[in-house]
Amino acid sequence: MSAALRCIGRWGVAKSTLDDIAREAGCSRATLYRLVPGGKAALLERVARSEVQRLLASLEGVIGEAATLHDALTGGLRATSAFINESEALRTVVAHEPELVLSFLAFDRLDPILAASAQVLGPYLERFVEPSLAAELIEWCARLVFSYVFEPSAFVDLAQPDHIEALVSAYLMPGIEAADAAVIRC
Amino acid sequence: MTGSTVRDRILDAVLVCVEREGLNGLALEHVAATAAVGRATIYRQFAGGRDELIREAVRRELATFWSGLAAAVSHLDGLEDRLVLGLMIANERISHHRLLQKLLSSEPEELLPTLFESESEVNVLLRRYLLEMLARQPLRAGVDPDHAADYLARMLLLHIGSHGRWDLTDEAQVRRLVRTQFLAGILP
Repeated sequence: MSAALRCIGRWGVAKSTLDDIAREAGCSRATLYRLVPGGKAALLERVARSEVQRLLASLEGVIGEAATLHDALTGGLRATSAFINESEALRTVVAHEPELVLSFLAFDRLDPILAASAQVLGPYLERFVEPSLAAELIEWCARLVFSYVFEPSAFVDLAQPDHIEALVSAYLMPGIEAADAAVIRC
Repeated sequence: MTGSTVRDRILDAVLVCVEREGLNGLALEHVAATAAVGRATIYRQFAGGRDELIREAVRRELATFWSGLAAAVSHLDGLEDRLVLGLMIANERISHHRLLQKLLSSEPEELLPTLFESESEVNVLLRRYLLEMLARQPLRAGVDPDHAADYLARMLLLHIGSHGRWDLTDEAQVRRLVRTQFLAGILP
């Protein structure tokens, strides 16, 4: 897996071959096939899934320790942006082949990631809002991250903390107030 | 016969052939036979051959989809009502689009890159449409209409085909989604 990430960071997804990845991992192509039947597509899917899990796990702490809902959302978005920035593989994909991720997660293929995010992170927002709104909020943020990262906007760059602050204050917080659910503390 | 009708007939034939043979198996001879034109005519209209045929067919389908959507909500005045109905109709049409659903399950890797190639054009048109809608009503203090149109276009595209935890066939839910996540930061 980490060999695959290193290859993607260096050459991108399209140009990384199973041979490259096997060489990088110091194993044979046959071993790679035995470990991941289904070839490159299956390997990529596994790598993507484990990266999403790693991101969600790192966000648990950030969101869990936030004192207010506002802090939880800005902190979570900031940490997500940092996570992407620190991953050479993700940086390469965002810079050179964003359409690959857009295709990979098009239409209802985004739904499993939304569901996983809400399941893992939703409970941490239940200190502030009722559970169904907590899950809605996590999904909302996950969608925005997906959109702003892979389809750059002239208005919002998640790498800039003040852009995140503005997005949360101008769009997310009013939306939460409008949801008129019990916001305990924000 | 005018240029546009020949083109349309050829593109109609592309859809018929893709439905029958898939994107990967699309053969120019079959398109020519279905449209009852010669291969030379196809190349005269679509110099890029097979790739251009597919790209243009996708582009035409997208244009039809979005202009149909705009027409279906044009009787409503307010932005909120248009977004609610637009989201519901868009999702219904996508789930009932036989060819799209078939290709999404059988050949996503062939279809999606072409689809996303045309998405930036869709984005531009969608933002312009939303900007015009925003110009017609009072906005919250401090809202930049261009930023708001960009945000709304993203939110719309993000909820077309991907419903997440929402039931996008239930008007009450869609209205709640639009009021809270789409418009709360934009309208007073």
